[in-house]
Amino acid sequence: MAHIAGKAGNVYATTSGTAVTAVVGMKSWTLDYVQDPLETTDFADSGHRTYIAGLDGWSGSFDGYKDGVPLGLGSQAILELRESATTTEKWTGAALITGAHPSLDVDGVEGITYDFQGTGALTVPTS
Amino acid sequence: MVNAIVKAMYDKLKGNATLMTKLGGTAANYYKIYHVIAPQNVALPYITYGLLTDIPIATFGALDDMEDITVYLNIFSDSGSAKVAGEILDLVKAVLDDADLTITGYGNDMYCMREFVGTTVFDMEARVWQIPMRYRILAEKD
Repeated sequence: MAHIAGKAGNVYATTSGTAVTAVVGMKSWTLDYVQDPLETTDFADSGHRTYIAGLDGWSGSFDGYKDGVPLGLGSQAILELRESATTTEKWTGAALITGAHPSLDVDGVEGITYDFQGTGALTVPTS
Repeated sequence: MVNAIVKAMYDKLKGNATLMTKLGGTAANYYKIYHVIAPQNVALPYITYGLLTDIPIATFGALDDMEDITVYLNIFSDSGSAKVAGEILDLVKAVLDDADLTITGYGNDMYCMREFVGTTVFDMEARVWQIPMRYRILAEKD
């Protein structure tokens, strides 16, 4: 058990082949990995709501500074959201790039945020 | 590495012939542009400069992928009015405003932006005029 510093994280992606490469310029990522709760409350539950697990899904975003050609929308990518350089500390799966949001101020660096929607199973970290 | 950015600004200033003529700058007097403090008894006018702040900008690729620094300059003159200092100010602005700096180790000089010119100060005892100014430089590593 150990805490993980964000400095060794990263976002890797590929839209072809199997070799993922770093999405250059990124500095943060957020993942929402959720499962639908299906309500099964009935008269026998003594006034307490009960649920069973439904479908799961995952989506999120990553952002940083624009550096080079941006990722294309609608392309299905293999996405690796890395927590560190340790190979077991990453979230991996296929995802669609569903949004690209560049932003620029006159006295700043052009930033860009990508949204993604996971499709299929998400492989979670094993450590 | 930050030193390379400040040096690039210095090189830009000393490389301008009009400014050098105005200052009377030569290699012998270090181009009348001095880091932080001028030597004793150096003739006015001259410019001093120094690093004010340095903020690294991190990405996953490198924690100091970019440097966002501010640099101060002070223009000193001893003429009967602030005219000479003001003329030097205009020359510095012409050289550094949105300048394309050549920075060792930093391939992408994003900008060199004047942040402000401060209030002109007159030192009654030394009979010296001073105009402070500040630049902000953003650069990305190779």
